[in-house]
Amino acid sequence: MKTDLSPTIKTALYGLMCVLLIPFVFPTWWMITSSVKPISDIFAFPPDLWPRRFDFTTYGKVFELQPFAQQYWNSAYIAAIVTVGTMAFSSMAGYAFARIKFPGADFLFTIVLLGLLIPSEVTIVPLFQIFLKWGMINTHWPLILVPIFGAPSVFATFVMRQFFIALPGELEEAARVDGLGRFKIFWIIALPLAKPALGAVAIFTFLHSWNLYLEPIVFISAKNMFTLPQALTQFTDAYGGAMWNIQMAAATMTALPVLLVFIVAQKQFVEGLAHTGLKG
Amino acid sequence: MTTPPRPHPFWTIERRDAVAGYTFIAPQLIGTIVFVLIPLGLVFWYSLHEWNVLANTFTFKGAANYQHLLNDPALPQVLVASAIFSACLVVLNMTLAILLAVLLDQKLRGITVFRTLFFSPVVVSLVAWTIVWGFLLQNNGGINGFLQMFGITGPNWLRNSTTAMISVVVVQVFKNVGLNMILFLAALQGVPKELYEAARVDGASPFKQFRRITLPMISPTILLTSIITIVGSLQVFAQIAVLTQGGPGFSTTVLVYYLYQQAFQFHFFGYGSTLSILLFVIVAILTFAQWQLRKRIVFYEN
Repeated sequence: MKTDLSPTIKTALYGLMCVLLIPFVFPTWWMITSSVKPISDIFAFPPDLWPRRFDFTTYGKVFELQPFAQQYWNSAYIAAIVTVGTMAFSSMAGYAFARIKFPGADFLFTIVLLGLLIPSEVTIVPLFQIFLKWGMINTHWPLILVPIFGAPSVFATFVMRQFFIALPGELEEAARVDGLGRFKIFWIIALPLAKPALGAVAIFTFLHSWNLYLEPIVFISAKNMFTLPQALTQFTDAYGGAMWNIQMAAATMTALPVLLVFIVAQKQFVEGLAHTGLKG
Repeated sequence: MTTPPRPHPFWTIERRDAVAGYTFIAPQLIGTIVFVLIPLGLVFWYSLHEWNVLANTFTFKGAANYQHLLNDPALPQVLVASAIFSACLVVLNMTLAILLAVLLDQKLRGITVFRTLFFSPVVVSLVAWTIVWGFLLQNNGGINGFLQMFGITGPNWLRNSTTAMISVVVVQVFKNVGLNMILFLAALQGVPKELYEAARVDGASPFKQFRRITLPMISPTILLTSIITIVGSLQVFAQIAVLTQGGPGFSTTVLVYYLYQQAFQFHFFGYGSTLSILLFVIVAILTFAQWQLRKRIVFYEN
């Protein structure tokens, strides 16, 4: 519906969008500003959009109360491994299901696709027993293995397959005539062309791992093994009351880096996701 | 071809392709079997047993857990809470996503800035987002503080069953509506412009154009995103655990949260597995139903 709009309509649209923006933007603003308010001002009335007094010690206290740097590292390295692993396995499987003819391919694809019907919430009880048996409770293995092979990676495989199916076959045929093996064709020709789809898979997978909450609280109970989402809920005083400003400081440190990366690279982000959504 | 073909080579193209194919899919296939399909079999097996963790006994009970499922006085409340949550979430999410997509599709200066801002909660850590909302929704928190400035006394959002449900739905909608918004925006941009021009020549109002052209043309996207949104809504856990712990009463105890409580707080692994099977059946039925619908109501496919 792209038409040139009259100034009145334009103003109305801007106004409408600004109002609609409040619940999207204000929580982040409130998180950041509250993280530097002294605890006595945290529930001040009327509410302060800008802190009337600043207290930056909250950030230091985050690290005193919990091994926050360690927890940050835990979340970061787990998300990195899950993202790279998912990209590798899903692009290989997606490529094979799309481009290579081999006996039983359709049947095996159906088997893998079944994974989409089975979110990890359904299998959390047996997963707990399996990892207990393998001695992997209170390790990061479950947080790596379950996403790399579970429903999110099946979705990634599906996305990659849809992408590779749409790829024209001539380039590959030329390479085959030149005697290139399948792996080289995949690595040199197909994969570089799949960058948009891979980018989307990377974003989805990273966010999924970064946000994981049920699995950590089921599999991990040692503070220095916690991931960030788990750690964020633990900033309470001796009576169980939330230490809001410290919690907001921890939340800010968790949310802000990803948010900044997104703002810098938002074009690739949004286009990659739109692309996957349409194909998927 | 530089080398002359040998007679009957063992490694024909087909054989080499088969080896490559199996090798390429092996990690994903084996991983899905080990970490998804075998656990699904196990969850069914567990659901037929009573499992006492403290006494370390694991006894076959047949359908006893399923019997318990039917007689569990809490279950109807849990299912109602899940249904309300999912229904409200999907309706709100889709409506808002389409509205935002239509707004962002207008030719306006600075529209990318708005797009970025509407999308930004998607990349904010889920638990961070939830904690901030929990903070805002405190009885003396930000939202009631601002309402007070206009002379309105807000409710204690998370301590009242109706407003607690509204809160968890709304927190989730604002977190993720950006994803659907982007999908709809891409779909809108794929609608041929000639259709609108023809409609304008015929004097169709913008609202009529939206109903008669836009909605049918983006119906595949509506269906796809509603599947993802509904299935996603059934998996909601962190928001409930952080904001309400299922309360007050059972008002926000959705199925996944109830399952978690039964299995990991009360250590009823057998009954927890039965609830998992129920969750699986619901997810599977919804997915199949949506795919059947897809054939009927979708205006066009690719």
